Amino acid sequence: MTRKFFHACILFFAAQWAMAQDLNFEFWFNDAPLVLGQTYYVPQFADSVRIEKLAFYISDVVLKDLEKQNATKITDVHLIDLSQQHTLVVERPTLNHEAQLLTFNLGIDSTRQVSGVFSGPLDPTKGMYWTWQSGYINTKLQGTSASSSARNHKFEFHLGGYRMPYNTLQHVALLINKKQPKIMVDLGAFFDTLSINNTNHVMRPGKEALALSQLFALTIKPYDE
Amino acid sequence: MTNKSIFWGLLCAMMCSIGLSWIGLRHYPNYFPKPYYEGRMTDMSVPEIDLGRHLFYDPRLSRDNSISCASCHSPFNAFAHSDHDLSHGIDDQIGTRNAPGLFNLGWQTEFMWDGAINHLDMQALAPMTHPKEMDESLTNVLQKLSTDAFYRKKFENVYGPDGLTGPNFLRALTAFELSLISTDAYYDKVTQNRAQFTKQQVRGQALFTKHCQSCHTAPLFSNYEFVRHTLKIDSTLDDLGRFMVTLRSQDSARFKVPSLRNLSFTAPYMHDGRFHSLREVLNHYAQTDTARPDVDPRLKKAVVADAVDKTDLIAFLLTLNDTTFVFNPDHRLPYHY
Repeated sequence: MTRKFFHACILFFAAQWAMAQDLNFEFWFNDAPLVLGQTYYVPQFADSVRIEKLAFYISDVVLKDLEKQNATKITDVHLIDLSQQHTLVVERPTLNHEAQLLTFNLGIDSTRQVSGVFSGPLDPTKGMYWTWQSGYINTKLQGTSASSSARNHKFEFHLGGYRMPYNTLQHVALLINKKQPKIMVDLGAFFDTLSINNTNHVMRPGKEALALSQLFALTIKPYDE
Repeated sequence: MTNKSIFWGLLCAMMCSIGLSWIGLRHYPNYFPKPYYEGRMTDMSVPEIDLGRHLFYDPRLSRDNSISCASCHSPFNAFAHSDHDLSHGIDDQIGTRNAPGLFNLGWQTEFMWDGAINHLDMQALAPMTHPKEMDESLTNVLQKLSTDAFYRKKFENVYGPDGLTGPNFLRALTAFELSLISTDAYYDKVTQNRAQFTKQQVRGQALFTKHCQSCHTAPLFSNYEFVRHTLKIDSTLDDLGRFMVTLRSQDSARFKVPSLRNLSFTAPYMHDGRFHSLREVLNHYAQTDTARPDVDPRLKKAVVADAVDKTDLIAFLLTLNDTTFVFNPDHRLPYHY
């Protein structure tokens, strides 16, 4: 009995340790945790926004040990959807790396974009594939804003496009805490820069989609508790 | 086991293998280039093609279960839509483009008149979700199909347990579409020394080689490039073609060069179906102002002005009709309905 309890304890703590090694995405709106459906004030524009949907792809996620100069692929493609809690954690092998550089692409690269249909996170039933024109929506951000002149004060950003010169794929590199590898996505920075009054609908590839993709990439930062 | 029984066993296996290959329609003449989708065309199985064929003819792919792929892509029109300049979709709505014929798709890299679709797997999503065509979501279609034991079994047979998924649905349609290979026109019979052209057809072929071949390249009779033609833009459609995909000004009014195979079955012609006869098309090119700076240099060669020459050229173009393909029972509405 004692032996079994001892084994269970080992398994429990091993699992805890392994979970601590996973990559966790946390969402914020400036200093407040981001909750879907909740209204946030945007002081820059004296505006308010409510986010109803936020989903985006990360791909080719790699952790690099800067001391040993080796790299480990964590996952090929992962779809993060704020409405589904389990997608906010990216599992990774339990490694004993020291300083960790995390790199990934925000979006889907052009090779995958032209390679036909995939299962898993790239399954077109996930709602992240344009149908009228081939291509994945790299980032989907929808909601309402007091200043939006669109119907029902909506804003809708479906950011994608893989053809040059408007390839919206963004490369992200972060130095992360090796014990608590958290990544912060702060939408406050996005809405402090973008006037919803001027831009409330971008739903196709082009110059605006590229600019907003670059802006969205800046919301992703390492988390420092 | 005797030597005799081993011999007959091996012979049967060889015959079955050859037979299955032909049923799968994966063969093409040696003067055809290597298909872009060669791997898929080799790997796809007869049951997968058959599943795709059922889906192609199934109106449950549309919101109100009224429109199937075949509604605008009839097998008897080489999978184009006869008598409709623009596609006719759900609730009697009219689209913005002429439904093209579907054949030899394995040799193409981009689909639709503007190449908006970059892979055949993804093509079906466009008409299925378009509000003027089928106005349905992939998720809803899968839900409808999952209530049908026939499909559950078919998907399981082809893709294994839990095989009824979005990606597999699209792969099955691709398999059927890749099986639509048109290689038995009179032109092919002549090329394979199984027939001979008449003198008029020979003259027509010479004219074709001189005036048309650079874009409508044999044996597919298209180079599948996007070429700026000289048609006046229809102000009711404002269709800028390839520009809407690439957003590059130089791609404005460029459309994909269609194949000239099966022309007798695929009228009307051009991306907006504005011409109803081949002679109208030839007359258009004859009247083109080739001095215009925006005219593709290859179109300057496309002028065939003489009436007799036009007749000879049309005589050759008609040799590109493939009745074996158009009347192939393996492509028609399957028995399930």
